Amino acid sequence: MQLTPFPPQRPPHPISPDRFRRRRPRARWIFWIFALGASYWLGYHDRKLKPIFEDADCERVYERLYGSESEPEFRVVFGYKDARPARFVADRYERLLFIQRLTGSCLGTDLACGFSRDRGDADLLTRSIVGPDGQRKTVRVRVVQPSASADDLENRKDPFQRWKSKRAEEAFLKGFHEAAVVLYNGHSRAGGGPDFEPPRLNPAESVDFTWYKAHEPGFAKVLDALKEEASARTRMLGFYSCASHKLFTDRVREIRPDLGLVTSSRLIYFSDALETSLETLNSLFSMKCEKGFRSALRTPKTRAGGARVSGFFRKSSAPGGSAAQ
Amino acid sequence: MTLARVALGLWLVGGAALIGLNLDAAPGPKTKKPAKPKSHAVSKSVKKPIKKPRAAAPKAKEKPLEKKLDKPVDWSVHARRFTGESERVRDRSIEALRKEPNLKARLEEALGTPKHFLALDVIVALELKDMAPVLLRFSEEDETGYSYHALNAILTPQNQRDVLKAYRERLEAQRKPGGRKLSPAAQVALIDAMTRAGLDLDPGLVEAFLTDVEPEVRSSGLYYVRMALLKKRRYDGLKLLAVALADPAFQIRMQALYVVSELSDAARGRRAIQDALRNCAKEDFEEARVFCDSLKNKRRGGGT
Repeated sequence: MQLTPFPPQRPPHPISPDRFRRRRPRARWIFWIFALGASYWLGYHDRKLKPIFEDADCERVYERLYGSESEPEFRVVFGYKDARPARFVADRYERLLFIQRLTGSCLGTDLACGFSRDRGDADLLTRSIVGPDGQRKTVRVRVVQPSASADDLENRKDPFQRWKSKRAEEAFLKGFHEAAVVLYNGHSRAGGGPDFEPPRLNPAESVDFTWYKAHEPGFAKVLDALKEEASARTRMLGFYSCASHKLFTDRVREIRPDLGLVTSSRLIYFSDALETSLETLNSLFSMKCEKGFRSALRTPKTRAGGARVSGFFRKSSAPGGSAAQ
Repeated sequence: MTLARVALGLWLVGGAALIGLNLDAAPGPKTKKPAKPKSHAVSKSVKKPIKKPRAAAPKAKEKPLEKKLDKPVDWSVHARRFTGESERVRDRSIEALRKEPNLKARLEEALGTPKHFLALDVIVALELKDMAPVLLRFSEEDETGYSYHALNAILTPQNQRDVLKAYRERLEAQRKPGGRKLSPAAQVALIDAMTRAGLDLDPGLVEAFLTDVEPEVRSSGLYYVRMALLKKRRYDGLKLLAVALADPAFQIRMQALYVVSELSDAARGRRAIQDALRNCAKEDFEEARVFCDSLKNKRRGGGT
């Protein structure tokens, strides 16, 4: 009896279900990479991508904010952040943290990131975003701080300090003519701020809050600047400083009821102020509507800042009308 | 060309629909998602509890400050009270934190987390000097540079020399190929610490700060040069000052001009500075040009 040879084992089919299943994810990845590359090549990245707004009012708010400028400016000015009784002055470091975040790589849908620095102007950062009209805009963020060094005693003797203080104050006050958004991150000085200079001291060598309260040196200048007609360019003013809601809101409202305000009702810790101001910029670049904006200021990261936005999403009686006109 | 683009676009979208989407999933019957439990925010608009007027209720007695402060709370709550509050509140918070069990371990855990800055504030306020080695270790990876500020505040005469030596080594190492690159904030913190301590740094290293890509590092480097020129009378710093006078950013050029304005006539008359001031006419920032001219003329006036 002849034995039939044992049939050799069949090699696996090149596209057996097993192998096919294993290969599919890789094919999918290849497809997506190819698709992304092709769409970039076709110039889809530069197509008009008009953002979708929740309602027409929200759209109008951002149309007014960005205006017709191709390079709208957002200004963040730090106050003189002394830490009396210590000599330490922190605004140089805080500004640098802020800039590190703005120039850092972007995660998720964040837009307050990926900025480039200007070579000739150390305070200027730019990046491209899609504006409310679907057109690409270059947003300019100017970040200015006043202290010359981290030592308050040294600063009081340094002639460069006077220039730095003057420049920071000008950047803040002129911001009402030149920038769509002006944010102050510094001391409230019991209602006498914003303050860009080494603080006035009392005989006990501590900050003379009584004097600041009585004279309001910084706030009086803000109110004067807001009274000027040209200040209408600014659509939002932020005070990231202690109890700024109580100290500043009502009197700013009397002069500019149409101005969006971000204020804090609490004593604000510096890192919370930084997070909140970054989130404010992010919300403005992402053109978040009222609900989204408010909830962005109440995330676990930003909640401690106690920031509140008011007047920015106020329904306007003249649709499409720009206050800058 | 446009037609080709549209066709390719349609092909891409179609391809995405066919390949990119999950075809393995069987198109089973649509199941209704289980209803979410109504959150407070949603139900608020539907069922709003009617608030009773409180007018008749007796006014609750305000808790005395002592009771409020003595309430057991997380260390970070106390740390927040260091900002903006009165000296009395601050002192009470420090007192409460001193009684906190395992505080040092908890502070160490908080480094690098969202409570990072609060932890550093507590270390400084409580003068936890034995945490210096922890901070020195952690500062190497701290991109905020704030652990250096905290460390500087708790240095003792015993460890100051070693810590400053470590700072110098870190600054030098990052300039070497393959060296660990520090964040701009960390570099600025280290250069400022060197300036305050009045340490002598290698001119090559200082020049590297003055030509760094980040203007803040250049500005800190220039502040170091100011200290070397004005306090230590190290005139080799004049060449470095000339580097800063030609900086691309006008803010740094202004800072350098102010340093020139603080120099003695003799120092200002040195060739390196005179050569740099000759370029005033090329200055495109008006304020700097005017200032530069005034410094040139001041020298001329002083010399005659």
